[in-house]
Amino acid sequence: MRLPRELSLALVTLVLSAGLLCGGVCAQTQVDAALIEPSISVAVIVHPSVTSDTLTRNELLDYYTGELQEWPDGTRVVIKDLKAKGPVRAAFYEFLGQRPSRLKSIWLRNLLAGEGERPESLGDEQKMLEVVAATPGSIGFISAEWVDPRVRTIILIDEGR
Amino acid sequence: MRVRDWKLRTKQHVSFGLVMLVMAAVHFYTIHKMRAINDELEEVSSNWLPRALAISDVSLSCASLRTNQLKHALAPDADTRDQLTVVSINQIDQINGSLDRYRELRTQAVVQDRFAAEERHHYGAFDEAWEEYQDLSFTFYGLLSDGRTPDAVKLLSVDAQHAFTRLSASLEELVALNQLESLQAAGRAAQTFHSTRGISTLLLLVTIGLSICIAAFLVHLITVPVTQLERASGEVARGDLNVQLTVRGADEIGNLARSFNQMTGALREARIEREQQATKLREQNQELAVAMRELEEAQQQLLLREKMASLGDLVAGVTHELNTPIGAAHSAVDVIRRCTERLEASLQAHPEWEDARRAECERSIKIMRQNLDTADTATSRIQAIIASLKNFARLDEAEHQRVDVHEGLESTLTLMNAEFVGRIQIERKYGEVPTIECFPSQLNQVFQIVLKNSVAAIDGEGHITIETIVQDEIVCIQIADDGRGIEAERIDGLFGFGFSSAGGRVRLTAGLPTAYNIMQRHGGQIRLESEPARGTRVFLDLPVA
Repeated sequence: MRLPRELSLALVTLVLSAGLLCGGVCAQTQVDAALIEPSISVAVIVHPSVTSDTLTRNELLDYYTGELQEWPDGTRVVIKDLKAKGPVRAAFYEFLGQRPSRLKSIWLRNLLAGEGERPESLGDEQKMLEVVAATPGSIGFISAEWVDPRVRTIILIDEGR
Repeated sequence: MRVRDWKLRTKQHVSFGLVMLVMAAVHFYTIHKMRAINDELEEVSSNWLPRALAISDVSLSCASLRTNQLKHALAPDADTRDQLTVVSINQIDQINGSLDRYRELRTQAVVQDRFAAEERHHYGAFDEAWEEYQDLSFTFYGLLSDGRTPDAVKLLSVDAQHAFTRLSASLEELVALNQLESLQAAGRAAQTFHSTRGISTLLLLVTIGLSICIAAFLVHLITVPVTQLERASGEVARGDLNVQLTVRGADEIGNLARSFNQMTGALREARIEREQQATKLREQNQELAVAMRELEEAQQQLLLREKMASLGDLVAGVTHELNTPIGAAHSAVDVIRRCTERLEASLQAHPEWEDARRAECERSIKIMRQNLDTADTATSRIQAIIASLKNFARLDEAEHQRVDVHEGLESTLTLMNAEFVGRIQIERKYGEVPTIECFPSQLNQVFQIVLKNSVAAIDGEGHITIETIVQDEIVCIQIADDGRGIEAERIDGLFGFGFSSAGGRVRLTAGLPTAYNIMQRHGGQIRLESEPARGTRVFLDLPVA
């Protein structure tokens, strides 16, 4: 009598864990699908004269908050902001880990303290592309699909990965 | 094993364990619920209230910033402007600090999802308004630095006013939301507290009830059988050994009841055995008494028989020895009488004898004749006594023959008729009786002796009842009278020789001993029952063969 009872217990446990596993996998798949759907690739672009090849998120944040105002080679950093509210801007600030309002607070504070200017806020991505391409030492962000050889992509923010 | 068969100690332990378990459950439930309430209240005090405070700070700082900006626009000199700029920077720092605190608290909140969407919405609205306000601030400071103060003031009082209004509204919503959350949390805590108190009280009552039930059950478990045992013991003490206890289970009480039943069973058996022994003893005693009586009777009979036998021998010897001298004496008397008669005749034949001598002879003859009569009477009497003694000693043998006892009785009654007439009535109750082997004349003598005694016992008028029956090959003749009866102390001596003083003369009474002797000779026996003033009943038992 003892063996069958233990066997049945083991069987029940097995079935239960299998069911849970399947359910978990299915749920995971669904979550992944949901994440992939609204993905967008944002390219952080710089003027081709910028010598740095790579840039970390913290360095990017330092440039945008005005903590660092020069590239490693000594040229002045010119940051550009996007006025149009949309997925590109949201993705960029998400990557930075700061809300736009906070950055604006920092810029306002810097302005009042005389430590910096408010970055130029550009109307759309086309404009951003052109301004960055035309301004040495400048850094901005556009949708990855807009990138052309006039600028260089220094960070590719791809939420899908 | 059934619960009933558990030992009392086990039952107690299990019961108290149960109560303790329930109490522990109540305890843990209460603690758990209290912890939940505590957590909730802690969440309220450590998270939601500070969050509301942070938002309020933000709201206050925003308002101050706006006032400060107005003052900045209207400042009379550069120094004042510089001072106001420093204040503005501080205020922006304060706003950001408060916002950081708020966001941190928001991420630390244990309960994340409650009102989360609404809060996110309001916060989004605030963020947007705050961004717009800052954009306008940039424009404002740009206008100021360009020296276009009126435009700057206009911007602040129109466009910035709208942004600020939306900003404040969002912040108020957030504060309200946090307050609502706090209130609801407090409400929930209160509700939880109330329900917990209710359930705890209920569980406590249930525990108390359960304890009482268990206690009652345990008491019942012990007292009921003990009461029964007490009652049963009382009944046993009063002698009722049939009492039995109901055995419930195999615990101590059950064992006690079983032992008690075994004890009463053993007592019952012992009592039955004792009673049987007592009965047996009583029966043996009775048998012993009967045997004793029979032995005494047999002894008496034996004594009597020996006495009779020796007496018979003595009488036979005496009569034999007396018979010859008495016969000689009697003959001598006869001879003397004849001689006297001859002497008398010769005297009368010789008238010539002188008168003087004649007279003397005649006187002598007369005296002699008188003495001869006396001697004759005496010898005759002696001879009659001797005949009687010989008869007693069975010195005259008649022939042995088979007769009907009724005939013997009737002939005896006929012979004695003269003694009954006019005084005594005879009642006959004769049964179907077979003939018996006997000496008829001797048997008749027995009847005569017994009937004579009966007649003698009746003073005046009376009844004599004669009854014959057969029982176990024994013919039983009962002769009963309603005369004086015999005193108990005299009955034993009746069958021995004695003397009677009846009729003024002392006489030898040989009747009943003779009857006894005859009955013994016939293999039968004679008994009598008597009661003074009621009469006597004589039993004559004779064997048929």
